[in-house]
Amino acid sequence: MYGSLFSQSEDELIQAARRGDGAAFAEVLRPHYQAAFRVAYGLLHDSTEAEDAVQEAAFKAWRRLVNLRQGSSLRPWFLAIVANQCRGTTQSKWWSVAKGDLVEGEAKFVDIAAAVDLRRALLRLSHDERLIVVLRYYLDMPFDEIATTLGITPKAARNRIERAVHRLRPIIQINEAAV
Amino acid sequence: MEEQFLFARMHDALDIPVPPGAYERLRIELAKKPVRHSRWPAFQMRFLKMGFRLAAGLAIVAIAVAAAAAVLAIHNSANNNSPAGSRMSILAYQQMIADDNANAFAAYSDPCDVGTPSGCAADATRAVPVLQKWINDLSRPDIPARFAVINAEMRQHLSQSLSAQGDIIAANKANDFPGVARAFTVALYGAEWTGTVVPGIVASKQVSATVYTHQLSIQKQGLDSCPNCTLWTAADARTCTTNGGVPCLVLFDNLASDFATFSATLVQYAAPQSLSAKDARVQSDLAAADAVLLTMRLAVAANDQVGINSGIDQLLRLKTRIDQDAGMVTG
Repeated sequence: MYGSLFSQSEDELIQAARRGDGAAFAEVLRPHYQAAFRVAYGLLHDSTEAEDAVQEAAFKAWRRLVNLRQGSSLRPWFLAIVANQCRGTTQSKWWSVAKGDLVEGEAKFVDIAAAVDLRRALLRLSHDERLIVVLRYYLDMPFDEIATTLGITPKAARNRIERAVHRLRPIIQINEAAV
Repeated sequence: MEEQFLFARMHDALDIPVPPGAYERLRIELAKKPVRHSRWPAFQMRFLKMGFRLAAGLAIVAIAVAAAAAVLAIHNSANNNSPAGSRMSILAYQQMIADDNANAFAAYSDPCDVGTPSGCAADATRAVPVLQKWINDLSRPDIPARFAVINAEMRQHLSQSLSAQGDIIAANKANDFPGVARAFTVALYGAEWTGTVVPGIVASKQVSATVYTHQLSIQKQGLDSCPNCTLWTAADARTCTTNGGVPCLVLFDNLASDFATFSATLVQYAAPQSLSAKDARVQSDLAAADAVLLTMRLAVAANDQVGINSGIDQLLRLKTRIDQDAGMVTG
């Protein structure tokens, strides 16, 4: 079963998934899983919540697969669903701002204070602002793909990035000075 | 320079590896719950004339109720002569909805799938008082005019969901697991609808005519192209077993999601005073469509093909009306 799946293109896998083939759908998501997790983690700042959000988003994506236009790329469409899934849960996650928790093992590589400050600053942004910053600077996504994911023009994506960065600037400048 | 610094900082602050086995867990979950139509394997057609009449009658009543609610809301919105302080503030309403939504969300924690229907009953038992409280909150007389239409729609969704929770509990008691699955399908619709609309309510703010028109235009275009409508109108969608491999429940969810997103958008980007009358017309059309969808969901759960087809026809007519009324704004 899986041997044949590996040789199939994304379009073929999507067609199979539309016919109800769960393995095909899981397989078509495989290359995008890490990106989806990074988006969810960037928005929620909690790895368990992020994994749950991606899983829920995957179920939604499967049910909504008919919405994906023929020939369209799966990644921006799926990431948009992930982002929407996170939108509903972020509001109850404000406690994590106060905790400023860091994942075990991460601290030794980074400037803890700077990382916590940046996370805190990110959580003060609106969902949409945080999302675009995560897509751009954490997922290293080009403006065109950001635009497709968010359903906006590349120019609007650039403007939104600028606005979000403007709001982050004070904290970035503090960190920059400290480096 | 700042770009590079941001890239580095963001990775420092956020980079963590995907938890071990995360993808594998997703793959297993997807295999365990392939698509929801597998919840009831006995998906047989039944065309009951009486059932159709009942569904059609219910649909007409629901549309009439929705239309009346919308007209009242429009009237209240247009002639908002209430003295200051007599209505709940926008902020208080948003907080109330956010709290009720969070409480409802917290009620669902047990596994609920084909293998563990008792989890559905446990969830339903917790959900009943929470949903009842939410409905009571929505029944307050001082709901802000901006949310009157969506509030009425939400009450109907939650009432249907509440009734379905009772059905889940009863079916589970009777060891009627297909019954649990059917009721769960209906109950879930309420959660899905609120899941779409609540973020719009919580983020709602009055916007300029330009922003409102732009948002309306995006939604109108979505409904114009409406790939989900096209699938429904295909000849093979009129037999609900499959539509090119896509079960009717999935088609319904997608279509319902399109309409719910439209409603959520209009609430989030509340029309300025200059466009309030036209906005009220579109909201009223959407409320009528929502009433059809509520009835249609019952038909989908009961595998009532005639009821489903009737719902599709009504929705397509309402889609045209929405398109026309939205066109009055977008030009």
